[in-house]
Amino acid sequence: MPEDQGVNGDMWTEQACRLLQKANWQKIGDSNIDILDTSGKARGLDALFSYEDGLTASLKRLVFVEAKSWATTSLSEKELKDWIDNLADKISSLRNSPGLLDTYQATKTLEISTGLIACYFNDPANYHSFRAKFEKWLQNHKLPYGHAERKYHQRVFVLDNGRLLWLASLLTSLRDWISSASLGEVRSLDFFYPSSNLHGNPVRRLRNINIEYIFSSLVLAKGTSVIDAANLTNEIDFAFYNGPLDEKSFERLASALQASNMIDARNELIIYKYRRETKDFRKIKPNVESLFKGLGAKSVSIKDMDNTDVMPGWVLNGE
Amino acid sequence: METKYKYPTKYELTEAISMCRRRFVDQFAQRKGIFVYRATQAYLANELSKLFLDEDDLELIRKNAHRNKNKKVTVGFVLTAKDPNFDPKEIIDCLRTSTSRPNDNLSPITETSEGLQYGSLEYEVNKPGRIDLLQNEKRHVDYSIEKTEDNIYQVFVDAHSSSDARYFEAMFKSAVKEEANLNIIDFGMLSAKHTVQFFDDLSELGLGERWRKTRVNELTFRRPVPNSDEEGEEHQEASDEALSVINRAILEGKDLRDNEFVKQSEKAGYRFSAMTIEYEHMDRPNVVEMRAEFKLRPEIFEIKVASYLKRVLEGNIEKPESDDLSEELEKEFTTTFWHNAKRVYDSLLTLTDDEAPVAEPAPAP
Repeated sequence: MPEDQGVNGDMWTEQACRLLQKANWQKIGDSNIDILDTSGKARGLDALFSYEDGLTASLKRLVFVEAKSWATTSLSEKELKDWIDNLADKISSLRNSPGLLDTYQATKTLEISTGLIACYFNDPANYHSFRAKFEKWLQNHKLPYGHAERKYHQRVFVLDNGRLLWLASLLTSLRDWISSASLGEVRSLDFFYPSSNLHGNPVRRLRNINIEYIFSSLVLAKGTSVIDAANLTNEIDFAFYNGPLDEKSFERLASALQASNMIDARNELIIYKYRRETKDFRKIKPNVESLFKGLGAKSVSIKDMDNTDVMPGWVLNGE
Repeated sequence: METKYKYPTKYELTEAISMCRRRFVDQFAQRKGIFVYRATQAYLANELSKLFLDEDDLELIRKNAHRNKNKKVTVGFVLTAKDPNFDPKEIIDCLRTSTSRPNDNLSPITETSEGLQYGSLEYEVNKPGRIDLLQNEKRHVDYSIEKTEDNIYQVFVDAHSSSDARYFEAMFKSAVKEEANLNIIDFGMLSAKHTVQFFDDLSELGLGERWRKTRVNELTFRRPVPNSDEEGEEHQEASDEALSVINRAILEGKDLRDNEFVKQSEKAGYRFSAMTIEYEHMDRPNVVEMRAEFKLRPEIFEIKVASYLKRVLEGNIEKPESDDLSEELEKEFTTTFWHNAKRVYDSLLTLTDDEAPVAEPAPAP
C-alpha cells in the first residue's frame, strides 16, 4: 500500500491532531473511529474536532478530519478525487445519524458541514516540484453545481504541506511570544476576528483559529501583557502575513489592517512575515517600514516566522 | 495615513468574485484546497470573501472579473491612402512619441515577413463606482494592419468593448488627418430595407462553406422614439415565437426578408441593428454563435464570437459543452465574418432600394 499504513499512518494522525489541538480546536472522542451512518453502514474517520467559527456569532462547527501521510510519488489524481468525494459523502451521511449525534452528544449543538483532509507528503524534498501537479489535480476536480440557494453545502478543505507548515509556524510564533514573558509578566493571546458590518457580527476574540484563517494570507491576533507589580497592562497587535513581499502588496496589507481596527495609537504592532526576503525586498524595506510607521500605531516591527520544509519538533514529538 | 491600494470590503470582494467566470472561481477555490458542494456562484463568492487574500489573489480576481465582463469584440476599418508614400508605421510612431496623450501606452509596431503589422495599446480609465477593487481599470486593445492593395490597408481592432475599439479608431483617425480616408461599415449609409438585406446576406455568407447556418438566436431592431423631441431609440427583440418561425423558415431555405415579423418591424419604422446566428461545422462536432451589431453608443459596427461549443454524446443524448477557443481561431472567425460583412455592405452601397446585391464570400476559416 502506498499510504504509510499502521504505525506510521497512526503517528501522522496523532501529530495532525496535536497540531489542531494547539490551534485550540477541541477533539471529540478518540482517534480512528467507526461511526454508523443513516443507512447503518460503518464509516471510518481519523478524528472529530470542533471550533468556534468567529465570523458568525456563537456558531460552532464540527470538523471531520482525515489524516493522510503519503509520498508524492504514490498519490494519483483519482485517489485525491476519491478522498475529497468520500469525505463529502461521509459528512452528508453522518450528519443526521444517531451513530454520530447520540454517541457523541457534544456534536448535537454543532454545525455539521465541514471536512478537513490533512495531507502530509513525507518526502518534503520532492514537495516543491510536485506542488504544481497537485494544484492541477485539485483544480481539475469537477463538483456538482447548485442551481438554487440551499442552506446545506458540504465543505471539504485540503491542507497539504504548504498550509500545514504555515499553520505550524504561526503557532510556533505565538508560543514563543507567550513563553518569552519576563519575570512577573503574564502574556496571553487571542485570534482576532474583526466585525463585518454587512452581517452585523460583533468583533470576536477567540482562543481558536478558524478554518478560513488557515487558508488566508493574513491572520490577526491580539496579545495582552500584564505586569501586576507595576500595575501595567499592554495590548499588542499581531499580523501574520503569508503574501508577496512587494510594495503594492504591503500597501494592500496596510489597508487591510486599517480596515480591521488593527492600528491603535496605544498598541505596538508586530508584523510576522512568512515568506523569505529577496534582493528586491531589501531595496524596498525602508519604504515598507515607513509605510507602517505612518499608519499611526505606537510602534511597528517586522519579524520573520519560521519557514522550513519539515514539521517542527513539538508537532512530531509533543511537548 | 491613507493607503493607495485599498483592501476590498467583504461586499466588494463578493461582488468582484461573482463577476468572474464560474470555472475560474471553482479553480481559484480548489487550487487553495477549498471544495464546496452544490454551491451557486454567489454562495461560493461569499465563502471565499471570508478569507484574507493577498495581492496576487486579488489581482487574479480583478483581471478575471474585467475579462469576463468585457468579451472580445472585433471592429474593422479600411484605410485608403492619398499619398503613395503613406506608411502606417509612421502614424503609430508619431502617436507613441506624442506628448498630448500621456495616458496612452502604445507598444512598438511589429512587422511579420508577410507584411502584417501589429501592436497593442494600453490606457487607463477611472471608473466611478462602488467597487474600488475594480477601479482604475487598465484597458487593452490589440490591432493589426495589412496592406491589401496599393494604397489600401485593412485595419482590425480587437478590444474588450466597443468603447475601446472606438478609442483606438478615433486616436488613429486624429493622427492620419488628411493623409488617408478611413472607411467603416456605416449604419447611417444603409436604408431600412438594406439593413435587412445586409444581415440576411451576411448570415448566408457567414463563415464559409464548411459552416452551415443552423439557427438565428437573436434579432434586434431599433427606431427613434416616436412622437418625442428628445434623442433616444426604442429597441425591439424578436420573441421566441418569432425566432422559432424564422428558424423553421431557415430550414426550408427561406430568407429573413420574407419573414412576417421582419416585414412588420420594418413597416413600424424599426431598422435591423443586431443579429446572433449559430453555425455548425460540417465535419467537426463544433457549433459557433456569431454576433454582428451596429452599436449606438459609440456608433460602431462590431463582430464577436458569442459562444463556441462542442457537442458531446452523453448516452444517446447530444449535449453542448463549452469548448476552448484558441485566439487564432477566434481571430479567423471574426475577420472572415467582418470581411463578408464589408463585401455585402459595399455591394449594397452601389444599389438602389429595389435591386438585389451579389457579394463574393471571403475565404473561409
